[in-house]
Amino acid sequence: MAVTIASIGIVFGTIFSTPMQVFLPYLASGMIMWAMIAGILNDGTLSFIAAEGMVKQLPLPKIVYIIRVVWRNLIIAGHNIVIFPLVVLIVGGETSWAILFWPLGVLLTVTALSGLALFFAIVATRYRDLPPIVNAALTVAFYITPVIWIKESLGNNELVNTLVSLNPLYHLLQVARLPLIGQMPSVDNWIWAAASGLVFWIIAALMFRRFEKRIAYWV
Amino acid sequence: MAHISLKQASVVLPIFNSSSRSLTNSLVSAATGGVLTAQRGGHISIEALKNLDLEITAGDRLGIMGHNGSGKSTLLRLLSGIYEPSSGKIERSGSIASLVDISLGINAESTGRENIFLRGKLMGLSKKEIDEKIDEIIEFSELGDYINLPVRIYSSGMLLRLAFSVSTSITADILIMDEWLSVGDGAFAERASNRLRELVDSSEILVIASHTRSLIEETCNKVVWLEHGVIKKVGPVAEIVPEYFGD
Repeated sequence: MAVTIASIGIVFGTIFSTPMQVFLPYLASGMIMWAMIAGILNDGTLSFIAAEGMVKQLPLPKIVYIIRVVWRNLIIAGHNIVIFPLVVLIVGGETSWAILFWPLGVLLTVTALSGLALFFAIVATRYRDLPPIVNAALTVAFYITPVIWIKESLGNNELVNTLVSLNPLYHLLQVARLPLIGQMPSVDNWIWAAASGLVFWIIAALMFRRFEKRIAYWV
Repeated sequence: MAHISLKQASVVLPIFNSSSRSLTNSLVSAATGGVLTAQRGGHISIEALKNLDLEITAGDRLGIMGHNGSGKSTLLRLLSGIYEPSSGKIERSGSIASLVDISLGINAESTGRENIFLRGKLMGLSKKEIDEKIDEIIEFSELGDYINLPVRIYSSGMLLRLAFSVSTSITADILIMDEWLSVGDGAFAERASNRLRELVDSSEILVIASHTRSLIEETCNKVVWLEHGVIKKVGPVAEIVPEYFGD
């Protein structure tokens, strides 16, 4: 992860002609948080399939399998986040009181994505081609979400800006990333992040209520 | 009082082929009315259990007999709450412990001690309960200092001793087993058998699937004879077992 950030940082920092002390912390925070987001969704989709043996042998509450995956990705993110203060130490960068909102942002993002992961997990257990579909979609999402590129560099094209703002992952990434680099996510970011989380969980809860008992049959 | 009752309970297992497991295929065929996909429609289903009526009450030592594929394992899963009946009802009261796969959840990289916690948690013990029992578990497993080493270096016998010691350290109202657990050799096998016997005696209900006549006759007081997912006969051991074995 550190090597990836350093390599992309040097190339893209030059392309965007942004000073390293602005770009590297931006990139590091974005890459680390994106790895967590993608990890929760990718692994989350496999929650039941990967735990087939347990699903078929133990009458555990099904939500445990989702929590397992989310927890694992939080631990991984906890290891990766160590890179961030190192980056700030080396190249410098801004921090501010906004960092106090970081735990809240991460909590919101993780909670919202857990809902989406639960939804994917149920569908993937029945339809086995969903995991590669989610995986491919996340690769696309990585490029259309401002993870390594800066949204401002799109210029004033209103259509493109609107399209970026329609992407829920953009807002979820913003609330988990911006506090790290000393910026407060906009009210829009918070509202969109919370709203998408709510929608994910409503869909997931409906699916779960309907299909919880079928999961053991499908794995 | 522990008790389980099945009312007209059925388990229908869907058998998906690769086409019906594909979201893209299903979406395409929904959108085109099935014109584009060569294979029409869905999957076959197996009626693993059909309209079972069964009452199990405290004191019952129920043996399940039947040929391979007659639905024994499915019935065990239904009783332990892994499968919900696809139709019909199941009512259950009392805590359940399944000894069907005692090595489930063992992590090869973790030490024996850590695995006691992993396995104990999966069986529904709290951390405090495991703390209280851990010394006894380690002593019974006879693993000695190996308990602090990763499980991947254990011999298969040691691994089974560990899994057995944890899994039998629980107490439950209802105990579910697939064949009698036999672990280790010589002296250990005998101690293990005694420990299992004690566990069985302390539980209110035992459900055990087995092919072994002597086991059923010694352990059980009631037998269910399954054939092709239907209960062919149910009754006391003395009546059903001789008939099942054809004498």
